[in-house]
Amino acid sequence: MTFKKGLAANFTSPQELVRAARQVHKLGIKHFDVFTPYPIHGLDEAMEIKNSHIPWFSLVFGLLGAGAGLYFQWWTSVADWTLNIGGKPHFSLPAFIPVTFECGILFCAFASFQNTNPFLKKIPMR
Amino acid sequence: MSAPVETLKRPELVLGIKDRKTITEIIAKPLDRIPSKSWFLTFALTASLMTLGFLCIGWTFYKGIGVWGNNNPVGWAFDITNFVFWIGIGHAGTLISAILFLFRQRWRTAINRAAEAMTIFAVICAGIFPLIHLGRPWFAYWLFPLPNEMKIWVNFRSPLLWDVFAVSTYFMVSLLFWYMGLIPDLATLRDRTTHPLKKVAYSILSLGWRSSQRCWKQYETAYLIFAAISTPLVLSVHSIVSFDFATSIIPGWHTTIFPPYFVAGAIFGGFAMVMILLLFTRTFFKLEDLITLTHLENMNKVLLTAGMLVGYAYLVEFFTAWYSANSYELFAFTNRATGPYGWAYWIMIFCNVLSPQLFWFKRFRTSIPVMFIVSILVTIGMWFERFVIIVTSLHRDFLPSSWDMYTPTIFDIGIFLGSLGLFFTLYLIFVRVLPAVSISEIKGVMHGAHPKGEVDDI
Repeated sequence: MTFKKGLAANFTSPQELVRAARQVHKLGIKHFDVFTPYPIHGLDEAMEIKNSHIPWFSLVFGLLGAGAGLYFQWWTSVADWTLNIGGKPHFSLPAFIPVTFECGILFCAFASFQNTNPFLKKIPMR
Repeated sequence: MSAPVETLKRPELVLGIKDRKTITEIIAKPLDRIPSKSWFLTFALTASLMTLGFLCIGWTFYKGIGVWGNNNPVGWAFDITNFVFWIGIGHAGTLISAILFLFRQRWRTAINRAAEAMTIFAVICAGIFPLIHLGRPWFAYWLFPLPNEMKIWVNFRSPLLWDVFAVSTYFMVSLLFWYMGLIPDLATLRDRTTHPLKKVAYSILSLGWRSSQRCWKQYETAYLIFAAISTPLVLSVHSIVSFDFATSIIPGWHTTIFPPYFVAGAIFGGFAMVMILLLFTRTFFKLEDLITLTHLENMNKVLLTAGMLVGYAYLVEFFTAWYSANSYELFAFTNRATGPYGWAYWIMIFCNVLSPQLFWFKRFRTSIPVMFIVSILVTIGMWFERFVIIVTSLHRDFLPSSWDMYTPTIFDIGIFLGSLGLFFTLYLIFVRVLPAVSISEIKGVMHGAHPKGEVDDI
């Protein structure tokens, strides 16, 4: 069978689709993709798609966010303008935890969302 | 000789529909037609309520906060009651979308979209109240740590400031999570619409989604991360809201049970509101095959559990008040149940603790009128819970000379009705412009959706 640019096929059941994807992958064809209305279980393994990089972005940015949040609270309360509020220590770590946590979550969410977009748009075929 | 093993059959999550095209049609069709007369009537009603609320807010800004019923001991009244009420309702959406996702509760797929939308609208309603409560709302930006000419920073040790961070983070993350789930459906709408303007709008919003398995892989990973970070977030937000009370020294507020108690209450009130909205949505949009009785029954079970948790918290509060041997604490609680606001306390007990007990019976769990009435009762009860916590704790202060009663004015009531109007108006707009049920997720839980029949496995 000869074709110039590509070949497309329709499948009616997920079983056939997964079998075909596994076969195509086994034949050593790199540039192929499967379009489905919902993520089908087992198709990742059949196509041997590598794990996503997104969790690393999320982790790094989540930690960065929490660090930045804590640093900012330290900087405003200790370094930039110290203010004695109710005799509490300038660096009151337990009271700084909630904002630190929320900053971590916020940064993590932004990073996960922002880094998902380029992956979603990645063109797998040339 | 052993008896043949009898396995329980899993209830089908999609009834009566066999092919995927029908699913898309059922969910996307209502977005193509002109809204019905009943939609316009409801919209007129809710939009009028919303306008009433904004008029009352305008009058508050013009005259000052004195037009409200707040007085010296009762400095937090309707405004903070409404804030906690709405933020609590906002918790159910993320609970359904994140926590049930992590627990692999597949019935969530039919209800998560509407619940998440509801979350966002409830947080919008909640956000109004602290702002108008400021008295000088034009200084609202003082809440944020912005560099200013006074060279002073916000006090990061204050729970009220934690609230600013928690609620705004919660709003942003919920919005992103909701949008993330919408992307595949927006692409479906983009592919099927013939309207040129809608085509452009859906194309932009769907961010070039192509439904390829390589994209799904990234999408599912990101979705899982969102669920994983939203779960602690949703628990933290209402805990932080409860810190507003718990870190003070007011008897009746200063208790360690507040964070879990508030979270359970939030789940309870939120599920009741989701139930009310879903009952309307499934009837008007004829989604009975997607939002089945199984879904509603499961939600009723959650309502029953959360209701008992809340009832337990009410009991523990009393026990601790007695066991602590602190006379102020004991007085605050006795006064709650038998004092001048005792009626509010008993409304709360009736609505929150007694009414969900009906759900022990399958007959009531699967009866639509019963669940509708109970959901409304729970919503009322949860509003009264916050009213009881705030007003009864404040109106009897440490000093009997400063004791006073609180009576809401028409502006308090008007603003509350306005927030209800705003909430339902936003929801009505949502069901007209976006798919109220997730198209792609429903397809994934249909019978035979996966090669190995995973739907039944987990």
